Amino acid sequence: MNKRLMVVEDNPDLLDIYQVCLQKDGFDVVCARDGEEALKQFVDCKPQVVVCDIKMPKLTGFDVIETIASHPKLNQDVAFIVMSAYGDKDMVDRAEKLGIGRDRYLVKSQATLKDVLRTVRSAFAA
Amino acid sequence: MLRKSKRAADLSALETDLKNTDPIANIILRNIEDGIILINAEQKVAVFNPGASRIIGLTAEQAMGKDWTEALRFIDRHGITVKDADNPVRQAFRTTRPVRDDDAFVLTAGQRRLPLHLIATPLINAGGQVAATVVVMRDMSEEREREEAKTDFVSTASHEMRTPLAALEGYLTLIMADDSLSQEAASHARKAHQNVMHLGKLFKNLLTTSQSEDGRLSHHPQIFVLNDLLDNVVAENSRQAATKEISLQLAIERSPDAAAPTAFHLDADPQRIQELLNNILDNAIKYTDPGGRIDIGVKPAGGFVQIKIEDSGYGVSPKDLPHLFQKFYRVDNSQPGTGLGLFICKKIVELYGGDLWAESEVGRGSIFYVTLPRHQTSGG
Repeated sequence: MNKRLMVVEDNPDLLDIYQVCLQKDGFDVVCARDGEEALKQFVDCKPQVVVCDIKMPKLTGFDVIETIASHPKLNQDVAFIVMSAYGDKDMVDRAEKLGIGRDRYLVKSQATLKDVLRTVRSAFAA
Repeated sequence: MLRKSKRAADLSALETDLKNTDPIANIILRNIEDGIILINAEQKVAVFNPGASRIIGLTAEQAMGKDWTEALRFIDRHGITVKDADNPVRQAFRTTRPVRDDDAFVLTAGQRRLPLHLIATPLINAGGQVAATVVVMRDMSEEREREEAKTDFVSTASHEMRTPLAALEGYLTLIMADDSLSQEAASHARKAHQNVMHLGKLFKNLLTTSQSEDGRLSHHPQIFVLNDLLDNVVAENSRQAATKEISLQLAIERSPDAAAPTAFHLDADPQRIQELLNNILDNAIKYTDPGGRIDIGVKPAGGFVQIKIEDSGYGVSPKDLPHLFQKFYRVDNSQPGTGLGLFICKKIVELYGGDLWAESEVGRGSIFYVTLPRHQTSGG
């Protein structure tokens, strides 16, 4: 079965980078440029892993994650990875409450692209 | 009954004094922006000008003749009532000397936390006793708002810059993965990548520094065992040390009759303590030649725990040593660094009431000492 993941990121360059890098590593990458698109794509494509930015216009990453996690039908063993410019304890704690461990909360400019790849690989392995 | 009316008479006499004998003083009192409160020897409010009313949110009628503690409710920035030792009015009465507090907070009548600049001046009578204390207060909320806006700007800017930085790092990584790259281009890409990572560290440090300067260093204290954290810190830094073939050892002192090393409990944010130790170790590794050694020793020191980080590195000259913990001070510009690491260490240690200092000898190495207060568990 193809390993499918969705990347939710409003910055077009970062979205491009993740897509290129992860596709090269053999993953099937679905892209979403905002929260609304993400929820739509999630229903259509059913990814196993979601890499999600937090600060986005309209719907935040947390909105997306909470919607998926609480939906009776949508929530089917999805692993979330947060990729955010913000790493305050409040946000990390909030993610933890949603079942996202500290090792799956990556901070932009501190986590490298290699870190992202490593985290995605381990999320699929789990 | 007689005493009460005598006191009331004294109070009104004081007021009358001010109103009648010194109209200029009265005009000043009634019109200045600053709050003026006169507290008599019985700890009651004798003068409460309109400025004080504006600041505290009480009318003169509500404040006059009452205990001053009802009008001046000193709290800290977290809203907790301050201890007597930190109460400027109590200290003025006690020490008989003027007490200035540039970072005071009071709880207004409307339950709002108000930042103030405040001076409490005791008035000494011929017998050398405090006859009254005059309190002058200035509302600092507008200035604080401006400072906070500035901090928010730094915070927002630092966070905003992380996204393009992440994009830079990402593209450089993709470029470096390209096999068609010439050796020269690959080397250039690597150097560019190193600089990008350095920039990321700089933003992180700038953010921490600006927060710590405003006393808003975010920290979430909890009670934890230092020993475990030290194991983590050593594990985290072992790889870097091993790359340079530097030995990194940890030794926790045990009492002679104990089966295991003493467990040191701290009441602090473990992430901040980790940051503190990582910064010092980072330097030790950077400034020690391959084949060198870094030894970490931990022992009790009164109610404190003392952590000693000793390296066999280059050492610091007597000229540089006093400036080591200064912001942006760089002893040596050839190595990557932000000049903020040790400054941040100092801020973290200050936050917890500890101490940080260094001894060094050029050519022999340096020793960094960190002391932190131990949390006394019920076991003692």
